[in-house]
Amino acid sequence: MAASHELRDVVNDQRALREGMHRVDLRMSAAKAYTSYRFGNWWPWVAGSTVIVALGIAGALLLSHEEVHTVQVANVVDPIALPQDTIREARAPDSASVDRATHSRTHAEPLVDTVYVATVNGKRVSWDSIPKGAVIVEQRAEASQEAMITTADGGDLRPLTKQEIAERLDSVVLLGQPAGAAVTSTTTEPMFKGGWDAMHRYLQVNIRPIAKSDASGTVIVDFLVDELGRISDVQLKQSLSEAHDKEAMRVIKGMPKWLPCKTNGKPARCRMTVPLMFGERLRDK
Amino acid sequence: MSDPEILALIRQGKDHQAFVKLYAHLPMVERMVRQNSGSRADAKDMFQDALIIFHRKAKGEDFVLTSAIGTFLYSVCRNLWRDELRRRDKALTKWEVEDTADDPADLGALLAQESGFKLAEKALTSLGDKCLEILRRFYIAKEPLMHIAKSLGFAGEGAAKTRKYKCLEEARKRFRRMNTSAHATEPQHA
Repeated sequence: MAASHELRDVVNDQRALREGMHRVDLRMSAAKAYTSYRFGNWWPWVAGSTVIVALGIAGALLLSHEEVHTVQVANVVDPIALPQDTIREARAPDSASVDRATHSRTHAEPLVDTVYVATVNGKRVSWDSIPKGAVIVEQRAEASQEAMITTADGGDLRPLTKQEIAERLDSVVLLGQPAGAAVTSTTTEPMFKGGWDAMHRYLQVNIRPIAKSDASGTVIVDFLVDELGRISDVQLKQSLSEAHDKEAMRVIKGMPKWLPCKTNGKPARCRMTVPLMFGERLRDK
Repeated sequence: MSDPEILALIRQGKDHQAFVKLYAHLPMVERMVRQNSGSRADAKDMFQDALIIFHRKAKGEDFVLTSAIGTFLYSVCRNLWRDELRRRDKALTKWEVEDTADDPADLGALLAQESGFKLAEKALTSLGDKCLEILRRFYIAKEPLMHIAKSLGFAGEGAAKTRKYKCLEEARKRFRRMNTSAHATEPQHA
């Protein structure tokens, strides 16, 4: 009697857990759909293929001041005691990890997918600007990539609090801060005139449908913004398909002049990285 | 887009497109929740639950649309919200929605079952990203273990298998615990 009771319980548990997993999946899907529903009017849904610019991993690389970046063990949120063996050499992540970052699953349905960004002295920087050999703190359970995790609640990117980091031991935290006096210059990021919203609109209008392609994924493009805001040296950092790559390069090259980054108040040359996420086709939008 | 078309999308596995369409019913739910001591965020969360419940129903083989999907979603949300308010401090909440007869006949049973599944979901998400990812990929996406091991950076298939087993066991344990404590407090559906 007792045994059959137990068996039934086990079976019930299994069913519930399976359905629970389905719910996790569906919830993600529902959260994504909410974003589309909510922002559909300015997200560039176009007939053939769609493009979303992920705001997260964009940053400036200061060309003329490379020597100042000595990234040291520290963190930008709130000091966390980390065991010595968690300190490792920083690597510029490969494109795969960047891709994973933009696609990583979300916690509690932030409006924008969770993005991973590197920060130096509390300021977001591009992965590329972290010099080789810089020491980065990472907290890890079984993680395979470094990242400072930033979530987007209500659309605002923010660093995680200590508590939240503790709750995400499965994820990695990369935190960096320049070593004392080594950093003296202040640099602002280059910007699309009118900001990110304007850039979205620009892309919305200008991206052409990719014919016969339902591929989805990210194309990462990197370019130089010179002192006058001109775009040059556009490089492909991550490819999706030939057609997608071409289209991404084309619209990026065709962008109007940017506001250049400024170093100590003076316009300077900076590199900018922009990921373009090509999403699934949405019909009858 | 009509209800049967949305249903067809779900049956074809195009959940995203269907959900985007179904969010058109959210404002109605939002109004109901906000007029009854709730916030927009409450409404959004609950609407998600309703979408999930509808999805499960729609996937059922014997499912036939008997009412408008909007009505169904609204009924589910109204019931969920009433239960939520019962759970909250009564002094601070008010409930001024007439109970109507347009609830689907099996709604009570459906919601009771679903709240169990929701606990399981909570147990699973409390495990952390990595566990969830393994379980999801294995049980839902049905990816081969070898594949999962590779993409999540495990030493080998064996390691992934062990981890999967541990994760599932832990989920079961937590679910059990939540279930026992929930039975005491959860409102019962008739």
